[in-house]
Amino acid sequence: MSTITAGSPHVVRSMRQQNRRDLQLALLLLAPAVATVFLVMIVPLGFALYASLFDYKLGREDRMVFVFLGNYAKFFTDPVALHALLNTVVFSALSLSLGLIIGVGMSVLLKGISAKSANVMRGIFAMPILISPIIVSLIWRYMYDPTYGLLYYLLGLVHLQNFGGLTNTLTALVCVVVADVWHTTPFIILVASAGLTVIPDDLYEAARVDGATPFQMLTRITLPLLTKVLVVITLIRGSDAFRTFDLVYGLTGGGPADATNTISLYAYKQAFENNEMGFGMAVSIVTLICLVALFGPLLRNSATSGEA
Amino acid sequence: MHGLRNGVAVALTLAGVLASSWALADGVTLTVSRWAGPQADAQQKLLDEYSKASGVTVKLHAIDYGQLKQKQTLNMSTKTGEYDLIYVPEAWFAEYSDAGYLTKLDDMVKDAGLTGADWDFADLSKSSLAVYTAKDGSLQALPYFAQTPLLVYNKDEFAKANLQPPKTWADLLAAAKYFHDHGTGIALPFRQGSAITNVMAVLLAGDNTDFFGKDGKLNLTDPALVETVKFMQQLSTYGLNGSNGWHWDEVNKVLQFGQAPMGITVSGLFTALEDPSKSNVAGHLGYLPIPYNKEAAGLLQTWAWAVPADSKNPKEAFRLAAWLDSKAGLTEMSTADPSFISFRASLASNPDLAKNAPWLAAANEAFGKGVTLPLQAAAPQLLTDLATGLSGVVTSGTDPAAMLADVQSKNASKF
Repeated sequence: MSTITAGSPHVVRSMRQQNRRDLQLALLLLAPAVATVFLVMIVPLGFALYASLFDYKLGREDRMVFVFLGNYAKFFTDPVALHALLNTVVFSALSLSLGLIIGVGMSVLLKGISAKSANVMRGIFAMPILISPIIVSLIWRYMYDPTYGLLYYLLGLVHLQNFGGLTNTLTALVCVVVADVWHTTPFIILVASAGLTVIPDDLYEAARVDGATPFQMLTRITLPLLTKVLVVITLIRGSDAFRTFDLVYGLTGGGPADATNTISLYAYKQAFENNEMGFGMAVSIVTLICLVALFGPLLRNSATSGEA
Repeated sequence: MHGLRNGVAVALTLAGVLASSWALADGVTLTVSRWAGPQADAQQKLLDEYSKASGVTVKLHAIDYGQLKQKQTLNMSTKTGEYDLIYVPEAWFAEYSDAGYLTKLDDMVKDAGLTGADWDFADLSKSSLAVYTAKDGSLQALPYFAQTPLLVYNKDEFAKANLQPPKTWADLLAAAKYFHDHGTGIALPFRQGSAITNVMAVLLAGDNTDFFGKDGKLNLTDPALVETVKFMQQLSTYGLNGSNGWHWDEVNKVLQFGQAPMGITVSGLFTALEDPSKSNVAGHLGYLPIPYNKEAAGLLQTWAWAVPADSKNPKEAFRLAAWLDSKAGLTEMSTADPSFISFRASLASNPDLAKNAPWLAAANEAFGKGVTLPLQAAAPQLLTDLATGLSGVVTSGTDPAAMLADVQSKNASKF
């Protein structure tokens, strides 16, 4: 009788065949998803990159003129484009910072109350995120209106009815940030609340016994242990804020005097209003490059820390 | 009773127009593309009537104006054949025509088998037909609807203030200042966008000047244009609080609710102003061309029906367009939506239509010297830059001459 042992050639060959079959099955199961991603993401991205090298108008594919990096040069020499990029960076930074402060702060506060009450409050706070961005822009457009908006009525009660609002170049971007924070902070609250549940209560107990203040517990326990969650929030919210279009389009259309013009809105206007599709594509590629430059390191760091 | 008799007469005429023209075309489905809104709702009723009488199924794709051009362009450029009839404004016509997207209609407008008995081609305004005539001289769309910005004022407020309805710039500034000093002001569509440039175009035409010089070159630094923008800047200082962030809709609303004693808005939205179920001031409003420096003028914002070159049913599509553009079709549309103004001379002075549309006389006076916005290929960028510049002038006090010089330097080489 022959004995088959674990390291015998027969067993090794059999394991290799099994592994190959497993790999083939995995590839087969992945194929539809990969094909979908390829068709709806990679192909359009490739076309956008290709079209950005041409002077291209929608519907005139037969009359595309190769301009190589001409569209990119046009972007970096257009003061309106650069101003839109600056607005976008400022908007994203403000929206993300405020969102994180308010969102994490509220999550921490909700953790300190009874679970039942916290769940009810969390449900109420989450409501704005259920509204589509264009409706949010319409709601806030009317809220901000000096003649019949709720906000100005309230400001009038404290003699601040002369607030510039959406019609002043100095305050318009701040007003858009406020609307965006109102809409998107619920997402931060929900994700941060989930992150807080994995922090053991023992740590807080021990800290209290040692006489730590709430602020010390926040900065020495909560925030450090919430880092990975904060990275994810920053990645998602930051890239969303950078690409914001519908809120600005509905609220101000980029005005007054381009004070709230963002890179996405600029790309849209160039592509669809000025019929400069090639240039619009180039602006979109620039947006992509900015996003990769700003948020790529976060992705890389979170991947390497995962491996560690 | 009079209205009911007229309605029945129009309906019978419409049915007669259909019956006299052709045999029922069963099995044909036409898809119509236009922008959504109250007019589209009124149009749907007409199309349902057409379907019942002709046997042709008509589907209406009414979508938001902001997406309309992309949708139409994408379909026509890829020759999907999805649309049989499209609604085209004068601003897009040159682009569509140059790209070869549209069917030539010269033979069809002469074919009595397609146009029907109620056609009367000569009744259509020649200037509107010229707008939709391509560079090769072929007619490629049927002008259908016109609108223009007008001044709307509350007659009671003016009577109380002992003010005459303003006709000139000086009158307008005086009235606006009066109301501003008394807590309100003039409602203006001065948000960064198309409305502010539309108002500028009307004011320029009323000052017998234009964006371009007689040589066809861009001429924004002309003193007359600087004067016009200075006037807009001065007028904005008497604007109702928030005007610098309003488009036509918001101006219409404050007029409708009686919050503004006067305002500049577009005639296509006027139906709500005189609807007693929607307006607090129905029957109390007066309408005038926008006050001028030299003579009354208006903006020819026109929409027309065109048959895409890739339509699978071009003749049936044209038949539908001709039916919509017939006297009976236009009368019914104007009755359903009084803010609908057509290009037929015979309907301009129709007393029954004027009864429900008190702005008709003012609109016709404005159309008498109607101008279009620049229609050249480079015009959209020019208008975008002007809208941005004008927004800066009215919100931040930017010097009008400097703004115009800046826009001139950016755009002059493109014209």
